[in-house]
Amino acid sequence: MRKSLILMVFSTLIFGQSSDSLFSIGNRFYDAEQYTQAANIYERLSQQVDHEDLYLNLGNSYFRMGEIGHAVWAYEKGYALSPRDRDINYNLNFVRSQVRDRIQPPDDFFVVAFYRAILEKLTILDLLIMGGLFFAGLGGLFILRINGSIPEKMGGILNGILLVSVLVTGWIMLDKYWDVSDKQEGIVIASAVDVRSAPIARGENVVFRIHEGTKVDITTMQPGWYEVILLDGKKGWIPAEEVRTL
Amino acid sequence: MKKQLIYRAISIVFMINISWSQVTVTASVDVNRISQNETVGFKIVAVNADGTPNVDISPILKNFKIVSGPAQQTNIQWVNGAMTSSRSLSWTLLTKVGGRINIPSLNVTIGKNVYRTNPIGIHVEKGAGRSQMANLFIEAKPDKEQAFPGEQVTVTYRLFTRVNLSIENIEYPKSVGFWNEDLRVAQTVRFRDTQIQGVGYKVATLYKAAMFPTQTGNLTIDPMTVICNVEKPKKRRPGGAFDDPFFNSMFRETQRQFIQSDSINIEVSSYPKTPPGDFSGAVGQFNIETWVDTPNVKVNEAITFKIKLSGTGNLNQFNLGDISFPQNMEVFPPTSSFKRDEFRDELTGVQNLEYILIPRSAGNFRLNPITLTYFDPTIESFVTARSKTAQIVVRPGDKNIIASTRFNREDVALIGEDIRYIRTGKPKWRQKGNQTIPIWVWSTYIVAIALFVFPGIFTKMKDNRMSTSDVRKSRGALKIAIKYLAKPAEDPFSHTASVLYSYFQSKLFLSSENLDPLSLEMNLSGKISTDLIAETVAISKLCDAGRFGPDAAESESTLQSQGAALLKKIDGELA
Repeated sequence: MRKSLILMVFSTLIFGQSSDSLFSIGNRFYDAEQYTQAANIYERLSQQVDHEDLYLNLGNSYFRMGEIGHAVWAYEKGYALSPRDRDINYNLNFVRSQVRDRIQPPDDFFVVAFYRAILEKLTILDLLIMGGLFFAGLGGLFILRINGSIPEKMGGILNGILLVSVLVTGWIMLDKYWDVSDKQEGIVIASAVDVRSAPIARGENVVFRIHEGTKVDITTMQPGWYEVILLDGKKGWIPAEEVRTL
Repeated sequence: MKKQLIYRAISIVFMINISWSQVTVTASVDVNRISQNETVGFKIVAVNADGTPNVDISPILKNFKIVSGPAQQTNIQWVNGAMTSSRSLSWTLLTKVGGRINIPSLNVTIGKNVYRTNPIGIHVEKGAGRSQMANLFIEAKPDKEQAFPGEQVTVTYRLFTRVNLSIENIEYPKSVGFWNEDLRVAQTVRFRDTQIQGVGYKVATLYKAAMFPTQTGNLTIDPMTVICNVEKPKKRRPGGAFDDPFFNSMFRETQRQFIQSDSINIEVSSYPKTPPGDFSGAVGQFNIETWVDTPNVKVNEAITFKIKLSGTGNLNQFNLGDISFPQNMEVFPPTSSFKRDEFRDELTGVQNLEYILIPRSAGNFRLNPITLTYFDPTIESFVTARSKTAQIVVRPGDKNIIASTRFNREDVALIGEDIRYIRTGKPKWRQKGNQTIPIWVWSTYIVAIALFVFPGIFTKMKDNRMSTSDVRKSRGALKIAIKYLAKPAEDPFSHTASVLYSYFQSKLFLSSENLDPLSLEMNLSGKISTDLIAETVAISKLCDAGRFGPDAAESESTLQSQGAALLKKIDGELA
């Protein structure tokens, strides 16, 4: 009741205000240690605009409120936008360390792990820029070779390298795109969730139990239920309201 | 109704019972008139108390000192079938002051009830104590009654006695506002004979202390208390079988007695002048000496720097200030020793400090003199003692050892972990769900594609420009050739040949090398008439043959004009 009242007051207050001033109001609430209000403002703002700083601040507010699940969610959002942001990485790791479930992902072959790291740390825009630069370099080299102003052998080697780079970058870009567009992930926001073998709430079908802040892949969505799969491969159904989708 | 009556009867019986066992608390002393060094027995008796009495004794501590107690005792008596019980607490008290003093009314708590005792007056005969107790007293004697803060006041406690005694316990004086140093504590009491006003006494020094006042004002040194067993004068038993000095000594009767010295008042006045800034509280007479053991060393060899502070005064109560050593000299924490001169009443001694220095670079170093500002009470002013400057010559070492021991690098210790702070700058907002890719990213792709498409255009343009320049060249070829041929030359043959060849190169776009009459003929065939070809070949052959050729002499003067006429004809046909 009180929460909704505050929300109402705020929605009238902040109606029509620019994103910048809203953001700074949120920051002021944060500094005054009124984290709930700060989080409300950031949440509102995040429905209109996107920025990694916004999600960092939102995650901090949730963390201060003790909402580990929401904090992980916000940091993951920020991480997706800016995967190399040091503060977001630090805070995300810090909050993850407070998540109760320790899920050991299977050890990958180092090449696969390296590929995954690249996939994770580069955004589609980064890959687009990289691909563009490689492509432009290939074009420049083509001109130089036609002109004969580069030794034939060196030109050939460079040409090969650049061609492979363009192709690899393109492939990674595609992979990333598929990853982002197809994969649906979520963060557990309830303090503990029973994962069931079927989308029916019955006592005997609990398979395992996960806790607040754990990240899950959502494979199937049904009204009120998500089928989730953990990093280590465990699979089951959980009520949709206990997960916040990324 | 009946029941109620019974209850009433019972309650009446109980009331009677209660009135019978009424609690009374009384206080008493064993003697009302004492001399100052005598003790008084104080007793509180609670009759019919059903619990242990609890007494708040603090009000009497102002005038009395508790020597022993409280001792508890419980008595139960049956008299004519009625029981009386009494519990008593007793103390042995020693007075602190003389004159008429009161043991005030005390609060005694038994169970939940509080009772008050009756006050008791006691008369303590002051002064008379000594004359009466002239057999035994302690004298407390300070060497001075006025002092400055930090100045030594020596207090001597001597026991005078005319009776045989053994000391059971000594309670040494405790004093607020003084820093106390024992000068002499009697391990075994050694008496010697002395006389006071013609009366023979045995006297022993029990304790000697150096008291250093730490504050100003009127300070009091508390009295010293000695508990001793005094031999009672024995009543002679006439003609007893055991009336024998040997047995007498065996069965001596003793009495426990408390003796107390007077308290001493010392007036501590502040310094006559305001102390200088580097005054650290030293009072007395001091002297500082410093020296180094080896003034001439190599780099990384150790030097011992010694400081000797000697003198009389409050030696343990102040520190030498921080000593600044030259940089490039590693300093190890000093070892310190203090040696007191035992045979003097003034606290006198020597404090030795030893620093180990290791020079890490060569050069001449100067160790600054060490100063100590102290207050000299004999002349009542501040004096500064100063040591001499020490010189150290450090020669370069055999090996250059890099001093690495100056810092131990440490990891930054994490005290607590927390998330990092929020961002407060103005972000460049992106509209939700509208991931735009900047134009410059697209433009790299456009540029790349353009670069692939471009080469076709590029080469065409290049060809075009190259061809136009050649045409221009070929048009101007005749003009240039005639101009050159008009010039007189040293060797007309080779000159004419080179002009001819360069004309044909420009005109027919030939490569510059390997032009000879034969190739010229081949290139020209079909482009001009055969007569002209023959003529050209003839001239070029003539030029090749040179001045040594068969017709050289006659054709030398006309060759250039001949060539010019020929080129004009060829140019007309080629165009």
